[in-house]
Amino acid sequence: MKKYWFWIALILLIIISLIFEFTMSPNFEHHNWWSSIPAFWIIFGFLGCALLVIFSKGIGKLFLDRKEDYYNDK
Amino acid sequence: MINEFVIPPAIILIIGAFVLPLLRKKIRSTAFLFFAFLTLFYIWNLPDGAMQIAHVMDYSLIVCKVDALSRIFGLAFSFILFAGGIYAFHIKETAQQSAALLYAAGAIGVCFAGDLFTLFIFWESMGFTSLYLIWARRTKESHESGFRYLIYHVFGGGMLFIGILMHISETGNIMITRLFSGGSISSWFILLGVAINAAIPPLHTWLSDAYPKATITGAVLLSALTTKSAVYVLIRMFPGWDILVVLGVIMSIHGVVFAVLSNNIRGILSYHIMSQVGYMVAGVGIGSAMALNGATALAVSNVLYKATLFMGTGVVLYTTGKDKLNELGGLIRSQRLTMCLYMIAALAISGAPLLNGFVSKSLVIGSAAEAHRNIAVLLLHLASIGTFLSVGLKLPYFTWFSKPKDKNLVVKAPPKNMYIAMVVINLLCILYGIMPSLLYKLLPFPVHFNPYNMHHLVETVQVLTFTFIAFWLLRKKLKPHKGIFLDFDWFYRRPAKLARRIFVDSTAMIFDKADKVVEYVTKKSVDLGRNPYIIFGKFNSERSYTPDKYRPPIRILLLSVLGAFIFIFLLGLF
Repeated sequence: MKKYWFWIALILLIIISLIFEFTMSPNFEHHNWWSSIPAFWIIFGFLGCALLVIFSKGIGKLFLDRKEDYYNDK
Repeated sequence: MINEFVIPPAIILIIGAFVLPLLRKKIRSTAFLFFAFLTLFYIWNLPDGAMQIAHVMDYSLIVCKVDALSRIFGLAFSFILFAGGIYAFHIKETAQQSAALLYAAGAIGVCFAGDLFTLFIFWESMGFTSLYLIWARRTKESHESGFRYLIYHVFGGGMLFIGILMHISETGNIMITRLFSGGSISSWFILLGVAINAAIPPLHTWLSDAYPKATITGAVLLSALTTKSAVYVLIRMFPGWDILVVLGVIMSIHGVVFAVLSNNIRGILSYHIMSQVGYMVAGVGIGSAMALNGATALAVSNVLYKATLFMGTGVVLYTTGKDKLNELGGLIRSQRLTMCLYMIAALAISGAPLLNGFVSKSLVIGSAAEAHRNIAVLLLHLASIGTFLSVGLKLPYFTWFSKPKDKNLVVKAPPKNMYIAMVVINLLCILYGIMPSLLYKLLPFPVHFNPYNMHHLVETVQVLTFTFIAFWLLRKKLKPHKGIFLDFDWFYRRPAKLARRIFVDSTAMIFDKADKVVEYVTKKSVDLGRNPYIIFGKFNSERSYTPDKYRPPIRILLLSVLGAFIFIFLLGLF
């Protein structure tokens, strides 16, 4: 039940943020190439997080993971 | 020159460290708090521009020089010493308490040092005193990693000292001044020394190696003082060095990638210090007033919430005796309060609105945007996502929420003072988050920035919520497993075996051989001394010389020689 409310709150938050994004005046002060992409930060947040997880775990598996006693084995 | 008589604030703590062991055991923790609070109060009331000069030999050392930048760092350090004192109130070990006071004295001394010699002395004192907070854990791991920490810092101090000596011989000036890139090699040596303490990769491994092995209470101070005092020196001496932007951004990403990998709860936070310091280093590299303000504000904020995070994980370690994610889980039932206090700090570090991370991180990123460094802006945002992912989601999820790995895990109750310390710091995090002007007016330059604009709020809310959603979908991938991972410390830890073989084992072997040779020669010469006749072969093989045996032949020999002599003599006469 608790979880249910949590997700509803989250979705509401996103909807509100989207409403604000499309109604407020564009940011002239720091205009970058990404300012014109709609919902850029949603894409960035999602892909950024996924990328970090996959990249970190990937290089971990490929090169970096070792047993705990790696430096202490004789 | 304004030259009122001001006592350097570090002196209070140094006196405190030596008075503490003389007091009765019961009141030592209270006295610790007293000295920390006194320092905080004293720094708060120090007038701007106050200076204290000490004449040592031919030099005039400025042992204390107050301006806005040194004051805000001094305040942050003394506040965290106070909060750390509350957190460690139950500790009855005087050596740790004195070491903590001296360590903070070093960090605060660095902030108020006006010349390079004073800076260096306080800088070095930090290394040794903080080492005790690592060794005081008294495990084999902490002992070994403490040694590596020591070697690293002695090396860094050496680089700094070389740089200082070269700088003085070039310019004849011992004051701490702004250095310019492209200048002399001395600046690079100083930068190298400072970079080691700031944990700029690839010189960062002392941090991720030693901090997770420090004592529960010591790690709180370690997380706050060493790296942030290095950031202070960077702000003072290296603003606008372009290379720092690149290093800072690399650092912030490197930190989060390894935080995602790490299995140790305090290991995650240690890598996270790196990531956060990366923002500050990048801010220093950008070098505008806004960027330096941002680096300062972020340093102060980071001192606060990072200490709380270490306190929260410290409670977990204290109550369960475990600090590996693959052994934890399901602690929410017994640790709801700890989790809540931890989460406030975790949201603060992730830059959630209404908390101090939001109002300080945006200064740095805003200054990068102002300087049109778009790649830096995006990568710093990415590091921010990684922050929330590792500190705000992965760590709490696998510590408190996921299924317990060990059903029989005994959770004892932590002392109340641990909670009080976390509450005190969290209140300040919230206060600065709601009223950023309180923080901004302490910054070295005037601030014309309102973090609570719509664009910024929308951006933050969207990034954070979708980071959470991505985490939720990928959480199985993050499942912790036992083990460690390689970092740059591989380059000195793995060849350590080879170095040991070359320098220790081979030397030992040579000594061993020499020992055997000497023993053989000695034995033979003793035998020879006992019976020189053994030279002539086996027929004289008695071990020692017996005169009776050789007397008759020798007598005959001597007689015949004498006879021959007399014979020749007589021949000569006649």
